[in-house]
Amino acid sequence: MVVTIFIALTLNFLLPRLIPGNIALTILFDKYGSHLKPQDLKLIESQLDLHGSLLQQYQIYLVQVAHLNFGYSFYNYPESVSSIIAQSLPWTIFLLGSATVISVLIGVFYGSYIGWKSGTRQESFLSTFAITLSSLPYFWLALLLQLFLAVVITVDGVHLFPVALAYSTSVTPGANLPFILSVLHHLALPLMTLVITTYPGYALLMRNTIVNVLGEDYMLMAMAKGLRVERIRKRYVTRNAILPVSTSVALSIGYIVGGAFIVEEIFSYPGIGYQLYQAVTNFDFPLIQGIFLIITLSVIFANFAVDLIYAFLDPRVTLK
Amino acid sequence: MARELLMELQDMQINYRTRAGRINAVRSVSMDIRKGEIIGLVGESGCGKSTLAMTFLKLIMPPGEIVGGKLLYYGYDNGEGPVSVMELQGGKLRRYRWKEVSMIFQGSMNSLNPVMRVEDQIIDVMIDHDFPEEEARTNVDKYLSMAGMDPSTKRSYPHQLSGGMKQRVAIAIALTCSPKLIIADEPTTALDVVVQKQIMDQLKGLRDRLGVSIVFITHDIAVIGSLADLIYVMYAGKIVESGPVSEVCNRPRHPYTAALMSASPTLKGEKKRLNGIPGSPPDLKQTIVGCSFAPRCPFAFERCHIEEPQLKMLEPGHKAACFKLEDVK
Repeated sequence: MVVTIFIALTLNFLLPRLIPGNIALTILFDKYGSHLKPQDLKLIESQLDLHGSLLQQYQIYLVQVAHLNFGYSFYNYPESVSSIIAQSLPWTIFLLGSATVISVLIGVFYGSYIGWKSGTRQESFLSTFAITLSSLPYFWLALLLQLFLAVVITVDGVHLFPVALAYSTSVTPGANLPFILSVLHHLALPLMTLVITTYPGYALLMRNTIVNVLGEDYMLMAMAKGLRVERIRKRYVTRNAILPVSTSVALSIGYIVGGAFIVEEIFSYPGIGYQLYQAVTNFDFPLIQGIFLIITLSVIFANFAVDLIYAFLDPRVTLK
Repeated sequence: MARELLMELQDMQINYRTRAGRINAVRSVSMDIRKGEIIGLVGESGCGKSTLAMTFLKLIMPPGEIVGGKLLYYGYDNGEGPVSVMELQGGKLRRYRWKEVSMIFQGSMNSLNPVMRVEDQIIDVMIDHDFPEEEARTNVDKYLSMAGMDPSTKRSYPHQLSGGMKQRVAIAIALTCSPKLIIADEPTTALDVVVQKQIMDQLKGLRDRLGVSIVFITHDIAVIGSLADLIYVMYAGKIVESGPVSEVCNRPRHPYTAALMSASPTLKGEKKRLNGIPGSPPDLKQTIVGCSFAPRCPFAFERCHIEEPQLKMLEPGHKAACFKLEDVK
């Protein structure tokens, strides 16, 4: 894992620097134009750690990363990358975390249900429904939901859901009820988009594993043993079927931190995905670099967690 | 010394519905199982013996269907006469399974739940058959040692055990609710001969000590010669010969049994050439006209291809279905 992290760090350092030209200066020039003086350039260069040889820069970079210092955002200069990430990470974790939990719960129950009913007409209908939902492009669904539930449809002249942002500008952030309600109200549409497009994936995976487990020899034996249906369901079917699903869930945890790029952008939800989108459109390389690093690290850690969880769930897997 | 009747299979017929047509897997099989008796059911792959095994626990599921026949169980001592297993439903069926008739599955390697410890797979079946958990827990060691296992293996998961050990665990699980009949469906097929012998001895010992009846299903007639009391020889979904082991093995009457016998080697006695049976079993999708063995039978004559021979009593307890035997009379 240490080696993986090191390679990720190095690539993360090299990739932006492989782009030809002094992009940092180009951007700053774009922004401040004729106000920039030669001495300012020197100052900014040293501020952004863009001086010295590549090896020297690499050294500085590693030290900085070790201190969780990712430098300054070009576009939002002089705001630091760390502070931008610190501001947007909670929103992303909140949105994606709740979406993942809800999708997994719905997916597992839905999948178990259709798995048990496999071969029936009801099952083929529900499976087709799930496949249809999972193949909807989520940005399209996001736009549709936004258009209809936040713009077109009104009840007594009031829109059902807000169009964008994480909370209303009229409330003060803090542990007060109006703020919390506003946050939940703003969460609804992006959450719906994510849940509707991700739960069918879990459902279909669960259905497939259940169908596989039902065909196993130990299921026939469980039937022959005259066990209660409840026990067969819990200890024989679900217990075995949950293994592949848990892998898929744990892996998706790694991507929670990355945010939902387009959904966050469509709803102007101030999470990591939104910041990344902004950073990319504004050539804000330190920010892109910082966000990529966070995403890479969380995926690596999630993979590690999957291994641990799997060893716990499946007795056939042992940790060495 | 007629033993008490435990199970009576009458004229059982089982089909599988497939896209390619209906497969007549079991074509009118009758069998009496008495208390404390070991019955050997021999036949080659695809003759319907495993399908027949499933019937005893009412485990025939679609696309399989029972199209005729009866299965009567005499094991309940409540004076109400035999119970028709095919009519058991819900809770009654659930309690009948394993408590009255248990099963050792073909390929026990895969019939244990991979994510449960051995002991839990013994305990769960006892709890679901209304034994107190305390009792179930204390009996784990007993059943494991009955099956020739070291009780310390109870904390293991199936993947930590060898094939032979898993087989023994399957036997231990089959004993848990003290059933009156154990169906052993090729329990030793995947094992080497040494372990095979040990497991056969174990089963025999269990019959002697517990008085349980055993239906032992195998494709190897030599294996059950030393174990069974009675042998049923099955071919293409039908019983072609049945009788006491000594009779059937020493004086096989049906050409198929004779061919099976000469296809397996003996340890003692003179050396002789082993003869395989030429040809292959008939396609069970087709309606079989005449004797199902006729195309492979060296003694077949005209009548064999037209008319189907019925099981005929040759001596007390010894039956065979072959026209040749009628002519001899």
